[in-house]
Amino acid sequence: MKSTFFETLSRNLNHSKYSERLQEELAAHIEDAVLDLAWEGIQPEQATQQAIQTLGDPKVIAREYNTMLKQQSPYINIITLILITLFTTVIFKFLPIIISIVAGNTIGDNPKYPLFTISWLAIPITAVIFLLFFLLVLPSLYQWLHQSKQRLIIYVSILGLPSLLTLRTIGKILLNAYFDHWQIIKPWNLVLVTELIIPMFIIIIMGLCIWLVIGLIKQEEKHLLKIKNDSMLPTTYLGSSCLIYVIVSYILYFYHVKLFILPRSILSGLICSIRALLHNYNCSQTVIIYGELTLVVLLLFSSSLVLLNYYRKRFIKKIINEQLPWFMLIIFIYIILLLFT
Amino acid sequence: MQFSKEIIKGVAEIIVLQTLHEHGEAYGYQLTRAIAQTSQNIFELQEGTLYPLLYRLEFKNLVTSQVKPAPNGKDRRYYHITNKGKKLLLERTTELGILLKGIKQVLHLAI
Repeated sequence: MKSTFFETLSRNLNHSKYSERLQEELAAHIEDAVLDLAWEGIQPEQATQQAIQTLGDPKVIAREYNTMLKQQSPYINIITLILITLFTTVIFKFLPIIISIVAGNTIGDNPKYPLFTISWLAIPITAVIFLLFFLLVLPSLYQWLHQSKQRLIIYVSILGLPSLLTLRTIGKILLNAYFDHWQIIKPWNLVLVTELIIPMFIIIIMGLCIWLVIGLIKQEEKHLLKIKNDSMLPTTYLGSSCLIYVIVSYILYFYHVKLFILPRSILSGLICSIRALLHNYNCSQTVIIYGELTLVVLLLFSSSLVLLNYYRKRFIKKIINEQLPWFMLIIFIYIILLLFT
Repeated sequence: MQFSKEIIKGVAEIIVLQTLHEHGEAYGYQLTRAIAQTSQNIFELQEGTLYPLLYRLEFKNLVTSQVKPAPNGKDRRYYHITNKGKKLLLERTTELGILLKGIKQVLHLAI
């Protein structure tokens, strides 16, 4: 009976660090109750049964818990996300440049824009810090947010953008060092404005607009839209906004309209630079497009998870738990193939 | 006695805060026993739902928690009321007192 209780509870819980704590505390509660009942002369099996009964229906407990998670203040999340985004952006955008300045040993010297010369040392150091950040710091920050089902969105859509922009910068700098025909890089203040501040400003404004519009629609047409989850998170709006921004940018790009700042050549920049180092190979347009398509697929996948989340919660849980590792493996193999073939 | 969900939801936080205020600190099981004892079993809560309620209070910084050994030697998570919690408890108790007085008068209750 005890295992059935916890299985039902676990199945119905939206998982986060608090869900483990809840299960631990409920187990301790049963243990204490059984001890008390044993003092009253009740047999252990019967006492356990009675203790579980007093805890109540595990589905009700899970519902209360899930409601409690949803009622978290969205303002804390949005402020945290903005802070994390700014932090990662500043760190990963400028870290290679700072290390280069400190190290002094640079490649691809550009006398016109000395800030964009980069040290060989900067690449591995940035890569290590980047990995450590994603593996150690982000999960802790994420746990603080208490939103397990939004993990993918935080990683890919929000934090992914500044981090990938950084990779783009590194890619561009390396390519600039090796190929004369590569576009001339812009002064740092222009890069800061055009590649960072404007895109983020657009994304945040769009996110707020989507938030407002959906909020108004929800009020009017709640039943028509069949929205089951009332508390959509700011991360979702920012994630959707990020996706729309990328899609619109791509559409405009293919029509040669560069109205928006295009978050392109991010993965492809990295892939090209590594290929260049490995094969002394001049990056073809095809490789760049493949790299960018990978990014689009990742963004589409993460956003479709968000959209589906409102309609089929369990289905999404299943995807995240069972299918995501396979998907990530395929993407990984794909990138490796792009690098070495 | 079983109350409707809406009534329980409204007062559950106050009851938990008050119990913590009286006991100084308590872990989940102690809290349920204390509430049952003080209310003379009037509040028969589903004990499992107490924990999400405690987490909600913790998120709001009304209580804090700490794991430490209980008298039986096993680790238990003890909850403490914060100053913010005490302040809110005072406000809500006053509000509830006025509300009860009003209800009593309107419904001509002799309690």
